[in-house]
Amino acid sequence: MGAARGLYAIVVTTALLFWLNQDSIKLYCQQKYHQSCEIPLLGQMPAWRMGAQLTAMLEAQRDGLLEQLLPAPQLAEGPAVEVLPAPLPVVTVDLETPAAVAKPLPPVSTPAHVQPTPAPVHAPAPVVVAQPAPPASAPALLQPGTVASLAAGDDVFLVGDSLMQGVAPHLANSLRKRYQIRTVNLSKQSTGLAYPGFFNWPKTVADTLDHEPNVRLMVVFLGPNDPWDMPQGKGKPFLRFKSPEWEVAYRARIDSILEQARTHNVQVIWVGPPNMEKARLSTAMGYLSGLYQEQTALFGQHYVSANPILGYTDANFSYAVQTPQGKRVKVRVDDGIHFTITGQKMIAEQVLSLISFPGLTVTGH
Amino acid sequence: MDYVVSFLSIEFGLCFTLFFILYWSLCWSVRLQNLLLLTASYGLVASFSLQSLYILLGYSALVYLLGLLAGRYPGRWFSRVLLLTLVLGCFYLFKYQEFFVGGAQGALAAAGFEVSLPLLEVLVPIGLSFYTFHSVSYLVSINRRELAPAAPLDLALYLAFFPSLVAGPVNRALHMLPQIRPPAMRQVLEPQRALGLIAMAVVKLFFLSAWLGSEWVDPVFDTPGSASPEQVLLSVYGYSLLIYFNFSGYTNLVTGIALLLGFRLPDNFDAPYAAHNLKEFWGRWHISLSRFIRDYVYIPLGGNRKGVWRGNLNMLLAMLVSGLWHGASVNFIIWGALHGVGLAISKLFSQWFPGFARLPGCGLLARLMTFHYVAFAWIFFRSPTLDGALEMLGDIGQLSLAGLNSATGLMLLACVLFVASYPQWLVLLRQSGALFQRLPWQLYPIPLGVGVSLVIFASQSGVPGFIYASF
Repeated sequence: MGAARGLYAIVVTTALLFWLNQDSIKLYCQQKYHQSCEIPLLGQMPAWRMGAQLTAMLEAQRDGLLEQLLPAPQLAEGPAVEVLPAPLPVVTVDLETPAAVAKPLPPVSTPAHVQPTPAPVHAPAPVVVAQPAPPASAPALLQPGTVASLAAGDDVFLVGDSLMQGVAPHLANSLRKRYQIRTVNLSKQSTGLAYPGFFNWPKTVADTLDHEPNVRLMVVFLGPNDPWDMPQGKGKPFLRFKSPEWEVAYRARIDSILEQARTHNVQVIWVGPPNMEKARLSTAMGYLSGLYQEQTALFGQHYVSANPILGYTDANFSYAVQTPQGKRVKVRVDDGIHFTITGQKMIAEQVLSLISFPGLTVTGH
Repeated sequence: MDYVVSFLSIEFGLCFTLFFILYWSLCWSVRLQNLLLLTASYGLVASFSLQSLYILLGYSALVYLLGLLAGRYPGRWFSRVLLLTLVLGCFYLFKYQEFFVGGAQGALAAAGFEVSLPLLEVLVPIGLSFYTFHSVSYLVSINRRELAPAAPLDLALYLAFFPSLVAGPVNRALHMLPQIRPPAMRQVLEPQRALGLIAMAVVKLFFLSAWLGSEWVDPVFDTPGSASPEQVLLSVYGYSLLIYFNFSGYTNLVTGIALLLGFRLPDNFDAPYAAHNLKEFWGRWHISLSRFIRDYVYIPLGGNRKGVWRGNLNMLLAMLVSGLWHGASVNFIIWGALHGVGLAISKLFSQWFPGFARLPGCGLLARLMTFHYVAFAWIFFRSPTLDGALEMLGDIGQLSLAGLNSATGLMLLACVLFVASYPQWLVLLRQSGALFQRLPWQLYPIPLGVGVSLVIFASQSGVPGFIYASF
């Protein structure tokens, strides 16, 4: 009879957990399985929804309390930062361009200049007719081979998913040790641009740039969490991955990040994800990389693919690569997605080599 | 991107509920239950990678054959040599190749010889560290005539039993095989305690260790040198608590799952930071592993039967093996060596001052010293590089009174006070746990579900990883 009692306890506990956490479970399910994850019938019943409302109420209380307790999180660092209103897409962007992030444009209103082809891997850049502005803060002292420059007191902002989480510590260490440059590392696993309900990068970037006035360079490295159908709003069908509508919405999110950088006079190095072991994922990374490359070019920012850094010359994937010294080193871990420490360091070094530090002396190491 | 099944995911919870129903509806046949368990275990391994499954299958077959051989000629030298070859060969091939080949190439290059030693590119199979230990326990027991060779499917389940496959605890054959062939019908064991353990795991993993990781530990360990000396010390305290919460939480989880399936796994943690010396610490931390190392490494090396110095040397060797088992890097070897040397010193100290621990106030002092020694050794365990670990130690050396007079200083004080008052917290926790167990079974799930929800509500989103799963 222990089994029956055990089952009773498991079922009641699970039901209670689902009842109270239904909204976050739904988000988790959307993000992972790329479907709307509505529970049929039950999902709309008032008694069922009450659990979610209860949690939402508690969350609002908690956030209110936290705000009272921690009024100014930036207080410890330097002078108080003026909090700007939420940035609006003001600059020279076509007004029809979907720069707003949380609600991508309905497909109907997408103008004619969108490519109707389903998989425009390297199609000419559609949508945004932003003026190809020079790189933000137009560094006059760029050394040959570099694309960005940093001066004393500048900060670097790292954006990305678990790929960036691996690379970020090496970047931060080298920047600090060699040039005493501070980094703001907000990389977070499982994030990307496709599921703003789960984690909203454009908003995070906007908030961070508002609060960190010294950021002069942003390095972005993400992608593997994104090649799926994505939600476009409550009750609406998901946008099919690689469909023209999907692409418009996705490009708009890339743009709004780049737009924030431009507004705040921040240089951007966008690192494209490398080939992956699974063929489907790898092809998708090629497609997303094309989008990153085109949009960064439109904003006059810099794109660099991780493929040549890891020694991949074509669409092939390999766990180990030959170094110029002829040594074979393992650069990817066994999941066929992430990097070994060696791989992380190679990418970090390559990114560093794109930055010039006029007036900053290298200190040891 | 997470294709790996985690024991704390929603998916696992739902699958487990279905599995639970199916499993107990077969309670009339232990044979069918075992078959279902074996299928689930292999399914879990295959969800990591098919290659891992093939390796586990091949390994199980080899252990079965070696078991037959050992059963026919128990205690003979070739049987032991074959076992040692199998285990060391597997560890070398799958875990240590790069480390040793790299080290040997480096040493030869330093001596002026440029050689390229062969390196097979293989992936580390999931669970290898633990099922090899299970096989050692099995084969040694047969060689000692404590056990007859098991039936192939029983052995396969013993090696692959999914709750303890990924990150332990280390099961002994003498303890586990009888549970695979129980004399009577299997029962759910202590269902309320089982669910309580799982809830405890959620608190430890989702809330405590995830919070400590992102707030105190990861920022400092990832970029050592960017933090103040107080923050570095706080991250060391934080990691000491984190690794305890993470690993003991994982053990709580799998122990709870096993109890629900009618299996009792060995105890693995017993309030380790309440230890008064390192020997006691290892009797309370990852108990199943330390006992394994004691019985299958330290004692076969001669234990303490060959004099004081040889005994201490054996202890050092055993701790080095333990360090290397945790990971193939210099840092883990240093971590093992620190514990080996620390054990020897603490043993000598207790021989020279036998009454020390009974002096007033010395019990607390001993506990705090043990905690700090263990905490400082964890720096090498957690730090990705040796330079990083040394830099952190250097930073802590610059602690100043002025620096301690800060918010971070207060948190450091809170940590020390927490460790100092640990036994009292433990009593409180155990009493409230016992109270909770006494709730009638009809009501029990309600505080459980609400409590877990509150914890999830207070924690960051995402499923935490298990530190030990990567070893």
